[in-house]
Amino acid sequence: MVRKALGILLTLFAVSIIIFSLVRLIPGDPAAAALGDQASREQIEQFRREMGLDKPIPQQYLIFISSLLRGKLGLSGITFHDAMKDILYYFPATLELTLVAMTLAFVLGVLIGVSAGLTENKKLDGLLSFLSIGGLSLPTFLVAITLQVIVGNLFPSFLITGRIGSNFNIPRVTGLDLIDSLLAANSAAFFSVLECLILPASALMLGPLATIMRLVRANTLREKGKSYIANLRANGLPRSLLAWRYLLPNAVSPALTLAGLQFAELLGGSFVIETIFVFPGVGWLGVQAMIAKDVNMIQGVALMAALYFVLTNTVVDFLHTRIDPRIRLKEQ
Amino acid sequence: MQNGSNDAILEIRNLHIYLNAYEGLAKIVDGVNCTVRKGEVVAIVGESGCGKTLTAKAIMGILPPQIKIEGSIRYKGMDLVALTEKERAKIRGSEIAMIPQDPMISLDPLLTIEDQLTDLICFKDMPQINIFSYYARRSRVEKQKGARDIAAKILEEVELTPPDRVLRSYPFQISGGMAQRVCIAMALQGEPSLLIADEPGTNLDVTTQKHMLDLLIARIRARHLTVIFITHNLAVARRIAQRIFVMYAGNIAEVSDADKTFVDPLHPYTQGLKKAVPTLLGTPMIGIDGRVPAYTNPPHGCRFYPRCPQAMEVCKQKKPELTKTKDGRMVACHLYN
Amino acid sequence: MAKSRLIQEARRKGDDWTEAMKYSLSLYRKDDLAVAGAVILSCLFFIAIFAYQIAPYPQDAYVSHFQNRLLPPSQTHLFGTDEAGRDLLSRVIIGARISLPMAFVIVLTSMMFGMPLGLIAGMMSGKVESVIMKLADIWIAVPSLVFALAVSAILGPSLTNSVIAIAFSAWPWHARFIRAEVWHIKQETYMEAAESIGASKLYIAVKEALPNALTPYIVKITTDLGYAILLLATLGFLGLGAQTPTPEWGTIAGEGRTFLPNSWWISTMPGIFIFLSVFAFNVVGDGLRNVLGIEEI
Repeated sequence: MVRKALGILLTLFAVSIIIFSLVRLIPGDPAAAALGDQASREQIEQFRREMGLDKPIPQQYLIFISSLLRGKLGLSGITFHDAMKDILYYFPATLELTLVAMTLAFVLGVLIGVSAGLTENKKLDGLLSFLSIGGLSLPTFLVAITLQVIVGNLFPSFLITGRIGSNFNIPRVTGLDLIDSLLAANSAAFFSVLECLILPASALMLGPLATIMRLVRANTLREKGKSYIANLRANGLPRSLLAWRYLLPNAVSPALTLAGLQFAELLGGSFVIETIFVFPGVGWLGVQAMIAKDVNMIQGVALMAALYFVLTNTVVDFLHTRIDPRIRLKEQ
Repeated sequence: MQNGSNDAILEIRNLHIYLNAYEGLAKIVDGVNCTVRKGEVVAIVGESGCGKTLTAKAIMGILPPQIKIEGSIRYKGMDLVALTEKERAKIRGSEIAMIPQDPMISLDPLLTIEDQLTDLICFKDMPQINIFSYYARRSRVEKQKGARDIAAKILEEVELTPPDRVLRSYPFQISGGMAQRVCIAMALQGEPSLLIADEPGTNLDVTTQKHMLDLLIARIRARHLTVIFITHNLAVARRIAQRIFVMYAGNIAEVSDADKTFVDPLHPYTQGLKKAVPTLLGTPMIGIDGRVPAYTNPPHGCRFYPRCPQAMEVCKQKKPELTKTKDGRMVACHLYN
Repeated sequence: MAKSRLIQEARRKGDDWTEAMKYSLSLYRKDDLAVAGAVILSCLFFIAIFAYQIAPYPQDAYVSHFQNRLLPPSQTHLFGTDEAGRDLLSRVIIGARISLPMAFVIVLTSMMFGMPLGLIAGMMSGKVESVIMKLADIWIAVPSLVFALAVSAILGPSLTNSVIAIAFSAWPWHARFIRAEVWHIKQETYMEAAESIGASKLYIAVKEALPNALTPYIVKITTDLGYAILLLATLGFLGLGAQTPTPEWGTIAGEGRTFLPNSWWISTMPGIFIFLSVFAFNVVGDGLRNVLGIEEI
């Protein structure tokens, strides 16, 4: 347990070094880039001093780490408070969006994948395979703007931007509006949040859904022919029971790692989705930071993404031990 | 032992099994006839690829959809081939049961033995069970049937004592021999009338295999089971069965009393099989040259023709029928026409 | 023994590669979807090569005609015009000259870094392998899009920089893949067998290891090409990739975003082309995977 936590910390430190180095060592002066062409030399110099860019790089890194440990990332050029503050503020929105999208993608992916693998209807299976390749080939932004335009036109009052209807004001407890609105016993607000979540989550989940579905389908086909299925069936176990209690876990277990990777990729996708739907999350913030070349914010966002990834992997590892007794018990 | 065909528990008539392979139509089982009487133990002997497992699966009704069947398989008078899947499912486990070949891969790796065994005991006659009804009914059904006790008792019957340790284990935690016994227990728990054993113990070491065979013979006797025992080893067949069906390339080559088949094999293939059995005196084992034919383009006449040391001209042209000899044995070979 | 069906076929016919290729081709032809993908790809390549000949208004890649602003699709302008009056069809056609070659550049660059590192890691194992793999693991921690966006932003958004950024983000996957393949091959008992009868390591590497490793790699590369196009377009869409007036598909779509939903064609048409290319690459990759008999990961 402790070893795992240490491993995570080590990985994060290593990531921070890489991100830090990339940001500092890449050709081009971040200060000049941030301030633009019109800035004078004095302005650039002053900016560099303020950002601490004039000090030697190892010292910069030490300052970076020490302030990181104190919970500070450095001054953001666009919001003018510490970048950490903004990231923490906007993070729950992204977390909510990605969790909803991932849950949908995983559950639907597994259900459709297993069904496709088990069905004897060749045409249906072919159609599903075709659709899944289509699903993962669609550019996320295209799906997002198409949904936005079509739904916006068909249902003019449907909310296609933001996180919640502007007339609602619920106290922020967890930062996850779905939960907060329930805590505030405001069902109208809850549905408003759902309304705002539907389109972005649908656009976001399409890629991972297709990928998971394909892998689960392939696994199902493979498990279907295995001896234990034939044996149990021959001795009387009903097919329905076999399908969900025996075949499904065996088909899904190898797909967990992939699901974890997809979840991390979702964070990348949220950059696009949040920008299009003006959804106030870390993705939206990140894009703003990148356009403005806000170095500290960019670093922060990248670090956060890495943390996200590492935590996801830890959860996946844990799930693996719960599902597969061979992994759980062999370690003892 | 009873006599008379009224006592036939299983009658296979003109069974053909084929599938569409990439290279063409593969006619694997090509007209098999087989009758098993109640209380009998018969063995089907043949090398890998001769279609014996396919026949077993056809009886159970668990062939994949791309493999097609023609012919009839009558169990207690009912034609199984004509039944719906639902009706066939009712028969599995409670009337006909199967022991698989490789026990280590025949158990679900993610569930305990107890889970799998009690699932079989409780739910084998409930065709439509989804995740909700399963958990809703589970405790009630378990108590009703005393499933856990039945499981423990049946494990004791296959000499896995004390049964609790095995019940609590996952398949990867038990040995091959133990797993084979679990599979036997799974087949027996439904109190079937007909048992099909598909090369049980082939993957075990010889000593464990012997113990397992002893156990099987004892259980078969105790429960008065009818058994179809599939094997590639003629000696094992002789030990366990009363009658032996020798199968080659999808056809029955010879049917006789077990001892007679072993002592005086009629069909050249059976003779070859006998020569391949290791003996106590260490006389050299002689294999049979050649391979099972490609089923997409099998030989015109007798399918054994290319490998037969006693082949004649007529064997190339005409396929021999299974005919009765003077002493009541059956053989499909032009040598005896 | 050999992993892919192609190699098995070749061995069966006595190392006759032409026969094996023909067999694989005949299998591929039976897969309708894969054939469709190959056809789409060929069309796209054709369009890219002869873009300036095919496009009805080739100069519109860069020249503006503000009097024709935001015209909907019509006979003179099949895809309509954009906010600067440029013919959208021409821009999209010329865009093929950017997206397709750049996808190859991206994947080739990733390969150039990832493949040798993976090979070294696999062949040398031990400390060297651990270091390289650890580095790859850490690199992967930041999702490719985020990484590429960040690097592109800092370098200064442009087509070249976004290509570099994307390639830079993807090398660990290549390294991992190659190292895993090398591992598998090292484990195969026929390696030991070959070594025991005196075959030199180099001979084994060339005759057995390389062909077996390359076939799944080809499938991976096709999928990567599609993904590269997606990333490039996404960067362009957000304004952090190719910059206006470069007619990269994503950039065009990004420009059109402000004019939604009225002038929907500006964002949609390039989007469709992106979809078609990625789809074609994926479908071809799938077809190759089936033909070569490789298991899906």
